[in-house]
Amino acid sequence: MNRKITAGFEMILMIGMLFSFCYFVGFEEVSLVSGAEKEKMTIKDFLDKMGGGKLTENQTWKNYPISMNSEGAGCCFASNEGQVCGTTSPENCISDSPFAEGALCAATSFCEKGCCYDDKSGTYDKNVLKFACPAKWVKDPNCNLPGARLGCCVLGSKTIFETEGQCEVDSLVFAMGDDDIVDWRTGVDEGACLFLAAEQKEGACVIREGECKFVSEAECFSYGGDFAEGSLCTNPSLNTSCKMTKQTKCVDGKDGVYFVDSCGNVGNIYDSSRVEDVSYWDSVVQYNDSCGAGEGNGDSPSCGNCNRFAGGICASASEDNFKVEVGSFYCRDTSCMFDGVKYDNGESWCVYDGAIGNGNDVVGSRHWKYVCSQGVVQIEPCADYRNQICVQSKEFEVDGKKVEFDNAACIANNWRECINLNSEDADEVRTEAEKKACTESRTKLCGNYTLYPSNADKINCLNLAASDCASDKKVRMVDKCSATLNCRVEKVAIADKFTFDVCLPKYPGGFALNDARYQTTAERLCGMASQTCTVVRASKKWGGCRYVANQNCLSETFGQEMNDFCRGLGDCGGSVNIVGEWSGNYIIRNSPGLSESWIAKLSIFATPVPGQFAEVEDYSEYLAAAGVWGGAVTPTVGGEEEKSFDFTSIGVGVAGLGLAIGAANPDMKGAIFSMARNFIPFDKILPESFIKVIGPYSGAMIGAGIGFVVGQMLGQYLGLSEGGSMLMGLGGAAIGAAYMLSPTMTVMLATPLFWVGVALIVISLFFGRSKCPPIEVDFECKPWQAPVGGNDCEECNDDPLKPCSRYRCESLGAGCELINEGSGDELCVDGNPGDATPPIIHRQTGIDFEGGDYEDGENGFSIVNDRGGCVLAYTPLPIGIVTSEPAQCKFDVAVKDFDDMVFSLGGNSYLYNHTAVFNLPDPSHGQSQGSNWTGDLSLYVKCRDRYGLESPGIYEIKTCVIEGEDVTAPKIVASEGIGNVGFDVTSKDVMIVTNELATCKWDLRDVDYSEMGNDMVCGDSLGAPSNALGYVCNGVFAIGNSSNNYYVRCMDQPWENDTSKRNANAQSFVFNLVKPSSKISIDKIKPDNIIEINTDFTTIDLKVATSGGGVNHFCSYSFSGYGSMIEMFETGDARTHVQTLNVGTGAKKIYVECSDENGDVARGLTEFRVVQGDFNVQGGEEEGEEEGEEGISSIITITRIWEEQGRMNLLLNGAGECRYSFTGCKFDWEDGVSIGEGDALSFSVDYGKKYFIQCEDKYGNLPSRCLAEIVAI
Amino acid sequence: MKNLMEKKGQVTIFILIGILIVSAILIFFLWARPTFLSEGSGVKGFEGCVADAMENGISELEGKAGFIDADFTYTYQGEELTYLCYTNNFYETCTVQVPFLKNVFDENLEVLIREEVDACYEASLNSLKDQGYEVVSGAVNYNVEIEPGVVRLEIDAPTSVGTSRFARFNVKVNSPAYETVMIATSILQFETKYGDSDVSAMMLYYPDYYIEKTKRGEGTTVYVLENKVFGDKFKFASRSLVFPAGYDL
Repeated sequence: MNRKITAGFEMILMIGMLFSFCYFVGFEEVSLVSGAEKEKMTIKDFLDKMGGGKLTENQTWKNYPISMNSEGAGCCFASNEGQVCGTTSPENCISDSPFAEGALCAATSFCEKGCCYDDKSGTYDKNVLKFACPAKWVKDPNCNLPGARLGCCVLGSKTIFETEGQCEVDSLVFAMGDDDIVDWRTGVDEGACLFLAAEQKEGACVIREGECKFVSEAECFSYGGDFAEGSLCTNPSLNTSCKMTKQTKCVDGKDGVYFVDSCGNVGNIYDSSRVEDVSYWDSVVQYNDSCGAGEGNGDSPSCGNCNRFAGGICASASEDNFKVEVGSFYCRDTSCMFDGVKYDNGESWCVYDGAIGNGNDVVGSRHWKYVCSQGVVQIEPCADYRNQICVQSKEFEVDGKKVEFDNAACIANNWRECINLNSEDADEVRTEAEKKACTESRTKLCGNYTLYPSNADKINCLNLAASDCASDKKVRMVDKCSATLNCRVEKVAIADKFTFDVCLPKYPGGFALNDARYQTTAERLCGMASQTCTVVRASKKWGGCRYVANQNCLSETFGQEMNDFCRGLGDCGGSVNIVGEWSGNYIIRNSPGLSESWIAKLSIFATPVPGQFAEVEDYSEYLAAAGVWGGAVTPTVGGEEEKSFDFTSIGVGVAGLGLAIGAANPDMKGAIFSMARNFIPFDKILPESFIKVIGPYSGAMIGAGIGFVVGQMLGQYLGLSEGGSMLMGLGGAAIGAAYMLSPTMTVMLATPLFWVGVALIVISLFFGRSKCPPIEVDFECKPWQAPVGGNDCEECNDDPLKPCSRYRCESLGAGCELINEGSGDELCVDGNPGDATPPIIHRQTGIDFEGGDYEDGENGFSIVNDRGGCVLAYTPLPIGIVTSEPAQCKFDVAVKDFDDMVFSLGGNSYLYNHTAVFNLPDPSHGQSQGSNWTGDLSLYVKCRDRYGLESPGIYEIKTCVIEGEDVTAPKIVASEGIGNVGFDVTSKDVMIVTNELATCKWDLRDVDYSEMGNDMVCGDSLGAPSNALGYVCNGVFAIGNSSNNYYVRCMDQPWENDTSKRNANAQSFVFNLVKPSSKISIDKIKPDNIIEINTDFTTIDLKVATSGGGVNHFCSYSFSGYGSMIEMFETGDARTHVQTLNVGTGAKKIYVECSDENGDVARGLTEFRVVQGDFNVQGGEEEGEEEGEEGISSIITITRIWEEQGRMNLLLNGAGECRYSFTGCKFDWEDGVSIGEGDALSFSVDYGKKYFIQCEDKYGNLPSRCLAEIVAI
Repeated sequence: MKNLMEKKGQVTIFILIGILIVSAILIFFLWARPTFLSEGSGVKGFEGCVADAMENGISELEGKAGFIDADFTYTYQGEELTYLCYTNNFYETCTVQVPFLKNVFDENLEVLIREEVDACYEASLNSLKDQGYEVVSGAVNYNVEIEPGVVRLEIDAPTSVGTSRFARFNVKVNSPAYETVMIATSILQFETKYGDSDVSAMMLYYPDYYIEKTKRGEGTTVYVLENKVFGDKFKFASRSLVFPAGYDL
């Protein structure tokens, strides 16, 4: 028996578990499509899933190239992740998806954006891809169609801001009548539309005996009741069953608390003093006649006249634990208290992590916008990395009166433009001496018989020389900077001869702290602030030295001001993070470092300054350039009504200005060529394009900012003076820079501009023993790195009003990591607490150099030549190491502690790979000057990880240079001015840089050095190179009417009297100056006529045709003048340049400027008018139409219609096409019966039938409703 | 009696099993009570069942911006939010990934609740049959429309129950889905045109809505539109006009 029971029990359990097992299985969604199958998805599958695309075999998308046939990144129509139209690599793109290699999606035809609309439902969506549109699509991304216009749809007591089509649909839904009665009002913005609901006439609707509803007249009509406007259902005269009560409620669409009668109808506004007042239940009492009118009545127990804008909105008393005198609802106070300050509903304000402006934004900080929304403080963080700043305004002018109301907005931070301004031609103020020198050199060239054979040529040359050299100053960088948004001029004035102006952002941007790509650009950017101040001294008569110039660079002011400059660029130099933790990322040589008290002053910036906020700046220039007007200034052009930009929609105010800035940023140049992260391989970056962005201003400093190499410490090792040491350092630094730009040695060597830098080491050998040598005071600015460790990581998680982010977290400590990103458990934590493993160093494999190799040792390696011996002088020697974990690495010529080592190996970022390149001079150069350096070198390397653990022991890198006579000719390592020249240019200043001191010559013939006819001016002296890359020689190459090859050769050791010991180039360096056969010109600019539209705005294509000039033409446009130009979107290779614009009515003037790679510029201007028409059927002149303006002020209309002998005749005011239908006014154009084209049409009609007629003008514009409804009689 | 005393163990087990069975039945009816059993007549119960399905479907769809199973999503707080507007480039405004959001919502809601509605229909028919009615049913078609203030489901289901004939059932549930979708569409239009939107002003004009807008570090903006009255949350992601995390690449 027991066995039976047991068996039975087990059976029950088994059966029961079956169900639970099935339940749990069903809980998990099992994908039936394997990963492999997902990868095989075709474009058809993708579009089927999308549900909207209409692609058939016949459609043109099949003719596009597909991704499987492409190699490089580009625009992919459908990616494997499901994204439509994005930049990616072919591997991430569905194999048979249309793919445009190397193109941005906006420039492709298969990713063309337009307006997707359904005029029946009144839906208009902007910026929709053609293939994604399930309805009609037009090539106008702004949806400037008549039916897209928004207006106020009145649906009884409710209003909705929508299109007319949507209003018609909603009217049917709410049974507001047939489709001919649609209350849709234009000229009302969204805010006014919402308030319109409150103004609708309501009253008692007596439906049948005793039954009453309080509704609008339209609703009452639909019920079929008797409407008593202004009466309540409790009005005794109406004889309804509705009685007054003490109940209250909130009403949808209204702010106040209302009484409710026994039928559930809304009564008047709750007023506890009038509960028993019978007269208060007779008729409607408006809110402005009720208790507490004009106030918010927030937290009032007796009055329910709430006003959300004044501080109260209807809410449940029980939910809020509020004691109201009568009923269950009250006016909840909508104001907010924050940090002891009261904010009204709708007010917004800025909150910051520390001090702002003047370059004081701390690392990891972010700007925040806080909003008071019905009593609740809401957070809206601005974009991270300070790509947006929060600006605030405390008062506005309304009808001439100042109203205090806090309004904040997150707007784009224009900090990059401030940096870029430093690279433009700055402060080109020609002195008289410069003008004279220019005239002399140019005049001399005009005598060149080869270039200017005839007298006429000579005279032209002389005239041009005179006018060019007489030109005065160009726009000063300082003026431009002051006028640029979010920029400021920083005057660095440290010493008498060490003073300069620099354009810096007010709110410097942030950098991704642990992203190698951004750290690479950060090195370059921060390198702008790496400067050298030369303190000049002279011997005193009776011994000792006196200061001649720049003595103040030896004071602590140098470090302070230079560090301010450094951190003003962005996350650079010595600065603090959001918790006030200091990290010094700079090197100061020969001058005092930053004192503790100074550092303490900087730490204060981590504390927000009470009352400080970023002010709204004047965006009018940018808006004007883009043709977008708004804000306080609305310029008028030509006296006609200027249609302002459509700011009527809510949400556009200060924010709108900021949004427009983002779209109108003049620095979109970088944007056009910007590349999607992760998708463009690094080796496809062209160094030249990047250098163009950074500019020569910072180019020279790149070397100093990156991997300051062997030179300086060599000098110390050899016991040279500090000046000489510095020179050695400069030479090595440039090499490091070149290597950084080119990921492979081969590429680096092939790039003339940034070839391996000059080995200044030998020069320093000659420098070392003068009595009062100059002192080179150096400041090296590095990217900011977080303090070692992870003690402060958790601080990021503490404040719910300031959510953590990756940037914020990583700024708190080098060991901090943001984990569980995207999940609900996102936290900033110490990534490896208790880390006890130091970084281990190994030689980096995969690096090689020509003519040499590496030999691994016990704890290091040696750099040797092919035969295992010493390397040749001036050979670029790359050194690369790999650490077992991300680490910072340094080296020195002596064994030192990590903190005492001066030179960074591969920057100061925490990386796995660390590389640097240097070269060593010829020992004989030094020996000829008395130095006894034999050419042996040892570098000692140490690395430290994020937690401060240092690599064990000392890692040693050894090398040596072959001793003996110098048999190597100098090399040209850099040049400037070579390449394309402008059409009118007759001579070009050219600069070349050699790796060693040399004399150089040039000629138009490829001959030996001694036979070359033109000397270059090589003004540098031994030990004093004027360029970070080496010794400079200048020349002026005369340019004829076409391209010329220029041959340059150099000879080293100019101090050597015996020329047989000097080495000259056996082969010429060939430079080509390319002159275009013609100058760039603008052939045509469209539009240039009158454009007739039937909407408030229209989308036009600004088209510019250019010819002549160089290969690449770049065109820009502006609505305000040549001072602020915006690069056109489609510009570059082609000769037709296009920019899509959204313009309103009025007279327009667009300035166009085109330039080519030669620097030639052409300017043009177009003027046109945009006019709006009227769709009424009418005859004669339109009201307001001036004489002589026929055909200008209206779009197509039927001027006359009549029936004659069974035919309907139409006269139009312009050529068009007309169709008719019997179904109704809003028929589909495609379904209509064509009447014909022209301006006089006729068609036969049937007696008694009603004809709905529509006409389309020559531009294809179609009104939303028909032009005529006529019955044939 | 003596036998019973000797079989105390058996008795105990039987009692326990009995308690379990009764508990299960009680839990079934009180906790997981199917809606179609709750109403009086089969038809009324059917509408309630459908209304439940619609409410659940609306809630589920709103969390995914109108999609049942979106491919292109962003992970935020453990949820997959649909990208309604996206670009992976810098300095560029986004491309609307899904036009006609309202239509998409309608269509997906119809797909999502179809099975449940079918089940409701079948259950109601069976219920009527069990009650002894002669039931004849035809092909069933659905149409879902979200409208201001309501979501309406029109079911074309020619059904005869005895002598009564039903051709169409209209079930509507109060829902702010239409208004929510319209606000979301407005936000998207701003995102695609200007690269950003100002939701604080929207909340001022639509006080029933709480709009959470969070800009993430890599450029994605997460939007959560919450209707305070209904508690519905419409969530989506957008990535538009993003600037690099540094000077440039």
